[in-house]
Amino acid sequence: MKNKASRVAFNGLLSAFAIAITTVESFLPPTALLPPGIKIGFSNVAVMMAAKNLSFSSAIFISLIKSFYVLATRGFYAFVLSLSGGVASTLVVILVFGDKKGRFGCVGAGLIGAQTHNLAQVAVYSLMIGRAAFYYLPVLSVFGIASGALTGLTLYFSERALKVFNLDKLKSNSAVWRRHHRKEKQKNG
Amino acid sequence: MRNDANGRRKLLRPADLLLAAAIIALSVFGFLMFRSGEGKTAVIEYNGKPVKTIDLSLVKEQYSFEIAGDLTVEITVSPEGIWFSKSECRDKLCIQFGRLTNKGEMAACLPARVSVRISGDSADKITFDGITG
Repeated sequence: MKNKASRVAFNGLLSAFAIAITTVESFLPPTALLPPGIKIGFSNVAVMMAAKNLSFSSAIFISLIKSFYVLATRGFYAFVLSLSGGVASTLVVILVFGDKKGRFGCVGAGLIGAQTHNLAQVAVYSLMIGRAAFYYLPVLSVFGIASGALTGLTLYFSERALKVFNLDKLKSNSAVWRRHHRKEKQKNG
Repeated sequence: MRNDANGRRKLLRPADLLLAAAIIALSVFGFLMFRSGEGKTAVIEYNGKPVKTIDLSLVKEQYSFEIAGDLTVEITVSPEGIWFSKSECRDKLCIQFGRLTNKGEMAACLPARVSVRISGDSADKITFDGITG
C-alpha cells in the first residue's frame, strides 16, 4: 500500500533528522548566550511532525531512538534526562495535536512541549541531586519560551516546505485520508 | 478559523499567546522567589542531603576542597563566590555553570550527584542528616 510505504519512509526520515540534529547540538560549544545544559531542542520538531502527521507510536519511537542515541554517545546521566524530558513532552504534544478542535497552534504546541520537557527533567534532576534542581527551573522556563516558539515556527514552515510528501494524507486514519480514498474509489468505480 | 486554507494546523492561536504570557508570569515569579533578598550561605549537597555549608561573607581568601560524591569534585570558594573548579566527570557541565555569587544560583555535577546552591537561610538553619562531607 502506497500510503503505508510513505509513512514508513517519512518515519525513517524524521528519525534520521532527530539523530543528526541531536549530534549537531551536542557539538555546539558552551557560550555565554546559553546557560549550561540548555539546548534549543530542534530534534523536537521531528517528534512534533510525527505526532501531527504520522501516529502516536511513531512519535514515541522517534523520541526513544533519540534517547538511546544519547545513551550511546553521551552516557547514562544524559540518557536519563533525555528520556524523561523526551517521553513526557512527546506524550503531551500528542495530546495537543490529537485535539480535534485545534485549540493550540504550532507555536503553542512547541511551547507546551518545551515546558513539559523542562518540568520532567527538573523533576528527575531533583531526585538525583536534591532541591538545587528547582533553582534552575526559572532559567529553563525563560529559555523554554524562546526555544518552544522557535521549534513551533520551524515545524510550521518546514511542513510547508515538505509539501511534496503530501503530509495531510499520511495519517492512516485521518479524515483527509479517508476522503481522499473515497474520491479515488468514486473516480474509478 | 481553526486551520488554514489547506486544513493545516494554524501557526498561532489565541491560546498560544495566553500560554506564553502564563509561562512568562510564572518564570518572573520564580525568579523573584529564588533570587530576591540577600543570600550568602553556600549549601553543598550530595544525593540531595546537605554535607557542607559555607557562610560566604566570612570567607577571607580563596581556597579549594574536595567533595567525594559518586565521583570526586573540587570546589573553590573566594570572597566573590563559589564554583566547581575540577571534576572527574565526562562533560564538565558543573564547571560551565561558572562562579555562583547571588542567592538562587546553583551548579551541579550529575554524575557525582553533588550540587551547590546559594541559599537565603543562615548556615545554622540548614539541617544535616548525619552525613559527613
